Amino acid sequence: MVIDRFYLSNGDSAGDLRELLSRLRVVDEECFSHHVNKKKNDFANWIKKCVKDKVLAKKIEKLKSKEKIILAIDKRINTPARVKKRIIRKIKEAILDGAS
Amino acid sequence: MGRAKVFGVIALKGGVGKTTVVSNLGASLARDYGKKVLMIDANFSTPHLGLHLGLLNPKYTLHHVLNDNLSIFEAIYQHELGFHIIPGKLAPFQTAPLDLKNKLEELRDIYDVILIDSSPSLNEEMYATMAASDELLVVSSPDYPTLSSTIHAIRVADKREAKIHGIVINKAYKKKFELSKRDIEGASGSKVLSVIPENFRVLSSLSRMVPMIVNFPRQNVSLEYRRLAGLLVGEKTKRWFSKTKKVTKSKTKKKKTKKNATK
Ligand SMILES: Nc1ncnc2c1ncn2[C@@H]1O[C@H](COP(=O)(O)OP(=O)(O)O)[C@@H](O)[C@H]1O
Ligand SMILES: [Mg+2]
Repeated sequence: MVIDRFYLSNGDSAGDLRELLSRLRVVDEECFSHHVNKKKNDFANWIKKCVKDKVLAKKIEKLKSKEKIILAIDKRINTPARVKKRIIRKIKEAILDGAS
Repeated sequence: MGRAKVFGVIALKGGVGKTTVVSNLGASLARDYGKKVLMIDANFSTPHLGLHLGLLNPKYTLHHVLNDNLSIFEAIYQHELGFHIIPGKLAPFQTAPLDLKNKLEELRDIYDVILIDSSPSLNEEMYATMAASDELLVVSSPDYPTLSSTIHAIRVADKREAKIHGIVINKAYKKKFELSKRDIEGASGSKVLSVIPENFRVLSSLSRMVPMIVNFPRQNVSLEYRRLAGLLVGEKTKRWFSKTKKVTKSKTKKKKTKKNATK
């Protein structure tokens, strides 16, 4: 599935939640408040429409601080099960790289 | 008797439990299932099967068979627990990988099961075990580093067209943080045949150089080894408890009848 990328006002972009998370960690207040303010929450919208994660979108919709949004996304994507899956994938990649 | 099935017990890692698996499966197959069992120590880097079974500094070893043209029959030791052993020797492994396989051919008619304890190093020793075995058991434990070497071992075996019978997970603490059977099967693409619990009595048995299943036959580890042994030879698990239960029942019955008789 190809997701429409999210373009931040500072020129960065993200194609999935993991990318968005790393962009958010370094984004400045000016850019952040361009996307999240009294009128809108671009991140929540994008997560709902493009990532199609309604549960996370609903959570983020109400959040106004950068830290809280980062935490919510982090919690959503880095569940123990997903962390495990990612590590196993990396382990397999390393073996394929090393032994081929 | 005979037309032995040869199982190679491998892992690309030391200390996971290869030698413990070999000695316990072998002992169970011989004692619980009445099989003619030969265990072979094909690990030339850490040849410790003898130390697990009380066979210290044997005069003739697999090394002499492969390098000095000693007849393989000369290197077979009969263990008092009912199985046979060809011990190993700390020595450079210098023979062609197919030599071991060829030497085993004439033993196939004598035994039901031959278990090969292999080296953890990815070298000729390992290839010798892979070539000589009909099927491989990969010993693993439920953590990432061991999973990694398990996936690697299975890949190497696949490349050399050696057949994997399945994975034996050893030293499982049954903790949430451990990799599950499903995780390991998913990651490796091989079936997990058995999950053997961690149990300090395995170490206590090692200190006496007696297999766990003989020393502590009712412990969780021993029950699982007995189950796995049955699985390997396609027989129903011999249950340790069934006999004991029957005995106690018939005893109590007898007492009652005696009482009744005196009345
Ligand atoms: N289920 C177990 N519970 C606790 N200790 C174990 C268990 N299985 C093996 N061990 C111990 O782990 C150590 C390494 O086992 P060993 O069979 O020698 O490994 P390997 O042959 O793979 O190097 C030994 O001290 C052994 O007694
Ligand atoms: Mg060993």
